[in-house]
Amino acid sequence: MTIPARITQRLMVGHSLASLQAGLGRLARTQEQLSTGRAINRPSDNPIGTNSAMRLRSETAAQTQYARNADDGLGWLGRIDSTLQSVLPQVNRARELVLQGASSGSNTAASRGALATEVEQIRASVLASANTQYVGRPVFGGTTTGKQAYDQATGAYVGQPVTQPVPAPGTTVERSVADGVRIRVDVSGPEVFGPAGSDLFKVLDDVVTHLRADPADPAALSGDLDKLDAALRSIRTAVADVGTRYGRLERAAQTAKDVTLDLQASLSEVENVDIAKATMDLQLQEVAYQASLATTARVLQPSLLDFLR
Amino acid sequence: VTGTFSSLSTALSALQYNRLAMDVHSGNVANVGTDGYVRRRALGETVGAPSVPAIWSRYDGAGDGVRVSSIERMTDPLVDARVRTEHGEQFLLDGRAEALSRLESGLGEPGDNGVAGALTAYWSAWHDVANNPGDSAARSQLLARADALTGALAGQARVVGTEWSDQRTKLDAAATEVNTIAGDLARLNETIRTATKTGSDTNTLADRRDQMTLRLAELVGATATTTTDGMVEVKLGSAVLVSGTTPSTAAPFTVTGGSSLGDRLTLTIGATDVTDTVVAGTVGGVKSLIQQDGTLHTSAKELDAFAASLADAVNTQHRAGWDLTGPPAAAGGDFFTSSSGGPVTAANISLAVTDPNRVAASSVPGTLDNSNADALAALSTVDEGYRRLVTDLGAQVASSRRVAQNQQVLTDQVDASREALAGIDIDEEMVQMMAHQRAYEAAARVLTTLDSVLDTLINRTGLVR
Repeated sequence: MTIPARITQRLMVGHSLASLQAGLGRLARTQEQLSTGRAINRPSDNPIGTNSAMRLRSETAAQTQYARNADDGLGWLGRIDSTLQSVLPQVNRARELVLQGASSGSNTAASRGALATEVEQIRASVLASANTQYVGRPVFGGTTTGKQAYDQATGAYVGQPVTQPVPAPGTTVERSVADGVRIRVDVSGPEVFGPAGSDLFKVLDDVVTHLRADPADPAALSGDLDKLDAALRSIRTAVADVGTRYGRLERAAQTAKDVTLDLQASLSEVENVDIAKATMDLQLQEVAYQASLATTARVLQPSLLDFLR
Repeated sequence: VTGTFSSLSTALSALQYNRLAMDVHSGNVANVGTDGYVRRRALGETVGAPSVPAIWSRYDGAGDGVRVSSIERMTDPLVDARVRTEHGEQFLLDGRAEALSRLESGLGEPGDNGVAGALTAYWSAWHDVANNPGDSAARSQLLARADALTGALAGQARVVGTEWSDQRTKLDAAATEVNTIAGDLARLNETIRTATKTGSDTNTLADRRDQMTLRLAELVGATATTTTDGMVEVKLGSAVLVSGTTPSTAAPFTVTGGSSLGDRLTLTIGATDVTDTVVAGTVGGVKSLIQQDGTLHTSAKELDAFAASLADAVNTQHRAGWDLTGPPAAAGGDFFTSSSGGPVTAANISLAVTDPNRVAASSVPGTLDNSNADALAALSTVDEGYRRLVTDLGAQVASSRRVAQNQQVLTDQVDASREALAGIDIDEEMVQMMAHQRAYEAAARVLTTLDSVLDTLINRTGLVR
């Protein structure tokens, strides 16, 4: 501010008050930044920074959500994997039983009946596994609204059919794990246990029938054996597929979490105050304020009246 | 030949002049803190020979003393006019900056509680529905968050609306004040004219007059010019607010229109439209905010456009999906709607879906497919419109504040130069007082000397001791 040629007391008071106000204003702003810990407390503090902060915030929320989606998908795939892992030895056991039943020799109808009973139990157990649920939904049932993938009594597939080899949109369960990236987190029953009509349960049914056949029918049983091998291959393929997708999901979740951290660091850089700098500023402004208080006190006091006698 | 006693009257004139000068200076000291008081100075003038010499008589005096020629008011009409202009501009900018700051803090951005936070929560709820399309808890949460979002949008619309109605009230109050002051100023003009004619001191009246014209400049950016007899004429552009002793009741300053946000506002003086003339002062600031297509109207329109684009994008995608009712499942309808009919705005946006099962998350009827919910969650890119709105407002607020601060520097300088002229320096007044005191003492001494001279002449002439 330029100082005019003629100075009056009121001018001095006005100037002093204005500079005290300005000093106090600067102190208040720094104090606000320090007490909120944020450099941007309103959009006008830094319009461009505000835009970045808002974008980073929504991006952080999106990435956090992607990580949650991926974790949910991992739950699905994990349940499918453990189910299939438990199904595999049972089907292997069924295969052994078929081998036993097919070997001509000491097999009697009664012993084959015992084998048939065990295969029946295996079938029931595998059928129960095929109806495994994850948070109330059958994991092998696709997008079905029902509670089961396979009918408990008949063993028929009642889940949402999935077209092969490319599933029609909306028939599979998918999770968004990144912008525009959707990963399938289910395996439909027919994909694991074979197509309806020739699926694992039908094969096991046939095995039971053939084991109970009297006289023994080794040819039919060895045909079943081939079908069981095919079923085992199908399950193993599904396990491998699930494993691959599990890995992808894990990586996606990790990426989302890493990105979240990066975004939070950027957000903090944009939005948060540099405490050391702000503290230094506060210190400087405090000194300046005290100096202007002191000069004001000294400048406003003297008057000619003090020296007139 | 001058008279014997003429020196006595010379001394008397000096006594009178110095006493009056001391009165003036003590008046200055007394008013050192009075608002609007302008420093006075007693101007002395030598009483001497007549300025027009006569033919048949001649002046042969040696000086007949001093007299007060006038009591000068230390002011400069040019500086005063400048002060009025800058104050008018300052009030416009301050009013704008203040209103915009209020609007900005009403936004609550950036933070977790504004519309941006509500939007984030809303999009995230769609993801949750996509993760659990059959879960009514996720669906209910989505509806609750969508409701919170509409509430946040309506809240912002309300912030703009409240600011608008505050400013509208302020405008009416300002108009009333303008008319009151204009009436007072017309009466004051009359008083000043009378006082000037009768030769009374008009300085105090002039102080009041200048305060009033300054206030009118601060209110509407009116310009003032001095006319005859110390009266002022106040104008807004070419429209006359006060002329001579004519009060503005004849042609009052009125505000019409502007009955709602976006309604056109008209300012008139009498029958003259001055809407576009008022570009300064409080009224100018309020006008720039609440006028049709003014700052507040634009903000409201941008917010409405964002709400409409949000509703449009979500509704289009939502209609493409299928809900969880039935069987058979029904196709999704609108998700957002306007509570008052008509197009969707920030104030009336509301939920069209109230039953959680009516949320169309699936793109295949009768299944727990989630791809429509996922597509809806992916619409979060419309947030950009809102971010732009906030950034724009932030930039406007920052700029309005900066401009107001720059103007403040200018205003302070003009005020300082006015104060430099009109302000009272106590030291100076004291020095002047002392000077006049000494002059008074000297004049008294002159009297004593003359007295002793006369004493010699009258009482001692002819006496020989």
